[in-house]
Amino acid sequence: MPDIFFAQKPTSASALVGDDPATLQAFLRSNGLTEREMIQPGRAYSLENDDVFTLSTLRRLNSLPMPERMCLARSAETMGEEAHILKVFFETHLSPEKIQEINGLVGAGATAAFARLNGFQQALVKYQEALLNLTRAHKSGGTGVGARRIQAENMARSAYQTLQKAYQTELNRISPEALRGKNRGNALSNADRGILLASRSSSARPDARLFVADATDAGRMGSLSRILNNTGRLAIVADAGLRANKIHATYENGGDWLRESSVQMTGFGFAGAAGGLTGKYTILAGTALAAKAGLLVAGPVGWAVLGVIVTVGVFAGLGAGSIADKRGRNIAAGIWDRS
Amino acid sequence: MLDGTPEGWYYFVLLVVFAIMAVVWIGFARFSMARIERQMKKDGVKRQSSWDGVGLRVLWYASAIAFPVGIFNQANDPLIDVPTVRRYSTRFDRYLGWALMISGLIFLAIVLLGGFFFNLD
Repeated sequence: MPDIFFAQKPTSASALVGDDPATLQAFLRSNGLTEREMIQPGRAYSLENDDVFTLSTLRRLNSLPMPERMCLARSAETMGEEAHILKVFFETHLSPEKIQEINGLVGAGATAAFARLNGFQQALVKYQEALLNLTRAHKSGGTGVGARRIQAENMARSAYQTLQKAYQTELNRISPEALRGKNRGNALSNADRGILLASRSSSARPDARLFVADATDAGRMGSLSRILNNTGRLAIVADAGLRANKIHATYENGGDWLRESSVQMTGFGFAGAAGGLTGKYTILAGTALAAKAGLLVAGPVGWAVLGVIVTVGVFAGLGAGSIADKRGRNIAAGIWDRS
Repeated sequence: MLDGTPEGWYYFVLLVVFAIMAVVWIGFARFSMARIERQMKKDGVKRQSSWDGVGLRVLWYASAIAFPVGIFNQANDPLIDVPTVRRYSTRFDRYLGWALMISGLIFLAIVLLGGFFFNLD
């Protein structure tokens, strides 16, 4: 590809290539210019005269609207060779049509995903119901119990079939594929396993492995719990660390570090209690408000709302915690100084 | 602290309230919550509050048990299974839960509002 330049200010052809007639003629020819024409700013030109593609490339470039050409010129200036690669990438993956398509998919995908998750949860609940029904049928006695047991078993099988047919991907996510044919795992491995667990369950309460719908809730809780756990632990470590640092600094400076230590510890306790309580009450109020507005439904939307409420609660707790920390420290200081 | 100034009195009251709340908190956690969790584990009900790293699930237990099921105590709270926990609680647990919630609220109120009424630094 020929080296393309963009003119920054009006020049003439002779100023670029000199006065040599042969070179000038070649330049004018390959750039599609006439002799007297000034090269305007933003116009693309090339100094290579033997390349066959020069004229067509230049014609293409010069037919772009001016703002685009200027943008291209600036990119060429800053990025040099890489501008070409970037252009190809943009055209392939981020052209306006492509972006519209992506937006459409995201919008449709979000509602579809929600509906699908809801459907999956409902199918799980049906399967769980069928298994618990089977447990009850196995425990009860009386006439016709054999027929009832068989009926319950068939219901469990068909419920599992729904899960397998319609929600194969989700099922594989929460129950490993390797257990499909085996008599292992929980009730989600296969229908026979579920039926076996249900009929075997002898204690007053059904086997915990039958509660598959609740197990998935725990799966969804997984990320929330990880965030809360780690944030809480990190916060405590950070807070304790800062306080320990202060005590150590007081010790280094020869100050009354015992006093400082008792002061900091009291503050820590107060802050922890106040932070937790504030968080809890904020979440309580927030959940009440959200429930009133009808926002807390089971499912991903409810989870998002709850996430916001919990985060607000955490922040409120942080604020209250710092105030309580001050009070606690003042109390400890007061007691210490008295004695 | 006990020097007769309003701030001194404030801090004294705050300390007393905190002591009461601390005792109730530990009592509830040790007697009610531990017992409930032990029984749930024995019955094979899945552990509810796996999200609790810092030990604040005490408050969730207390509010689930104390408050009547309603708008302030959602039955389908994702963070704790309210009906199950309520089934395991006794009347003693309910009293302790109420005590914790109320003393906690008083403690919070005194901590946060003290700055408005007294000249604290």
